[in-house]
Amino acid sequence: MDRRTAGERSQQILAFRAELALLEQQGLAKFSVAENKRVVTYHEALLADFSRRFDTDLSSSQQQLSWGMRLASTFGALAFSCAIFLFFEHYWDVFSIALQIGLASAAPLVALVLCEGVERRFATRHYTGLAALVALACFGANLSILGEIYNISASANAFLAWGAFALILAYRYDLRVVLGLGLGGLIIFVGGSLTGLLGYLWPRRDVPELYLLASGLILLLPLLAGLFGAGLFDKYSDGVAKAIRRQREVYAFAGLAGIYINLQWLGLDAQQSLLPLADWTVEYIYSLLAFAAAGLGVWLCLRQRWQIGSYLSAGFLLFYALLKYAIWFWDDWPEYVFFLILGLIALGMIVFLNRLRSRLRQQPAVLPDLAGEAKAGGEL
Amino acid sequence: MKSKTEQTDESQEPQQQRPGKSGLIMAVLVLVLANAGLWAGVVWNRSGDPTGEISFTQCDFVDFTNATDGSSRPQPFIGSLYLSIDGLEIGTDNAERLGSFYTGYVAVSRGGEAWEKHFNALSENDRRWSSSDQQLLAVAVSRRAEELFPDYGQDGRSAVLPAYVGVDRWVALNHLVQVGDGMREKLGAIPVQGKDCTPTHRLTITWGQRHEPWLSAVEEIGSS
Repeated sequence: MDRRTAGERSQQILAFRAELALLEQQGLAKFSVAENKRVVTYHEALLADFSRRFDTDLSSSQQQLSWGMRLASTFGALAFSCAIFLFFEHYWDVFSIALQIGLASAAPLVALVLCEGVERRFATRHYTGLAALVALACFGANLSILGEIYNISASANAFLAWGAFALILAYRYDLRVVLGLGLGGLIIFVGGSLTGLLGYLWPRRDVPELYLLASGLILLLPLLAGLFGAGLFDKYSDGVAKAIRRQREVYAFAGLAGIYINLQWLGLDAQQSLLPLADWTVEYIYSLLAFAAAGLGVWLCLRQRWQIGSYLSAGFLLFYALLKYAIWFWDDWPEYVFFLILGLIALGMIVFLNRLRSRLRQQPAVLPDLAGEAKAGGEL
Repeated sequence: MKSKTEQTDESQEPQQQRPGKSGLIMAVLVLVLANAGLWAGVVWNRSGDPTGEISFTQCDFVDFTNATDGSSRPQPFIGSLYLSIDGLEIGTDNAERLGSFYTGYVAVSRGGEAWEKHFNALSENDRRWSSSDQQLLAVAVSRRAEELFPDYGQDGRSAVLPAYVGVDRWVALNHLVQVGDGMREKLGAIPVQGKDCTPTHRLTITWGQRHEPWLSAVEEIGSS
């Protein structure tokens, strides 16, 4: 059993208890004393075991606190990383080159050892997540500092190393935020490498279409792993495919986020596009694609009952619509007309989403495989 | 005594495996390989014949100072020097020939026939605002570094640098030159003169196989 399964099972037990209490209250069902005692003892033992081994939440208030801890650990990691960076930035030039190199090279190793120690010492994820983010930041600083000391030309390969390191940490310690960051690094690596292959100088020139392609690959990776990975080559590839499928919602999230960011980029800065068309044509094409992709994203995520995905898609749809609306009409319309139409658009969106929700209530999820993610979706 | 249900459930739920060592080994391997790759690039850059070498004086670096800013923090030159490269009108003819932006090479120079031609072509305003005190100008451009090497890079006053070249714009890489430990003391001993600077020291910048620069020598003028 892994951490996520234990978490899901805990939630299932808590939901069962709440529903049973309600049924008993309404006189619709009742366990005998002996049955009740047996089930309660069994559940208590399971919950205690899960809590001990996986630090699972035992109530909804604990769950809310966990979210708070997750946010605190992310901010903590940022604060620690900033403190380390600013300390060295202040004194860096005083250090000899040898000391600079030593510190830069040792930092990620020390942070990795720290991360391993924290994982062994504490059952809770939050400390490990914090330590892993610091290790990731140290590795980024390691490559960046050595690159600066020796004037090494910028290369997308650094993002391959960084992404691979993040992926290893994420799978070793079951950390989703770190996995998302690693996938982001790999998207930049693939996009940057393709940019170089096309004869452009990365990072002086960025081609959003290539990042779009890389994001699409990440989005489809769990599907491809399911189609081609399982048992096709050997036990190892089978294991990799399973690992990808197990974290499929993180891949989907990173892929979707990458697609939305790059569609927005192209819709706002058409000059970066590879399409041999006039800027305004490119802008309209990608704006339409952005709206279509976000709309499709909302629809698919709602059908699959993937909560975080639907938030991401709806958030992007709303943000991009407002952005384009402001760019297109703010200068031309009187302010009161601008805001009146904006209000009407918001009303229209509520009506549209409400109808979509009503229709979805009547339909089962399309792919049973992804429907199961609804439970895990909230944990992303 | 455990109930039948509990026994069955436990048999279906194996204990969580503490992550094995393979993940840790792989993480260390990534760190080691990334650093090794980086060092290999540095060694390769500094091996063989340099692809450029240009001498400056301390007066050519606008920000040259070894003073502190009041917070006991040395000014950046202790760690690095900044090169400012200007010049080279690529022109419409080249743009038509070369098409849009491409990854190529520029020859940057500080003296010589091509340099004088370009320097004289700069307006007074450009000389003041575009051309820095270093007067380092890009004087030739090509898709291939080999086409520039016969004329540039080996004459002691020019270097061949990778660049991103377009219609009338180009960007040469690696403007930052790190000062090694051995050079810091020498640089720190040079008196700061301010605006009316009289050159007393020669600073030599060298570019290697990967066109990445470093400060290779600091000498007193007239001592060699």
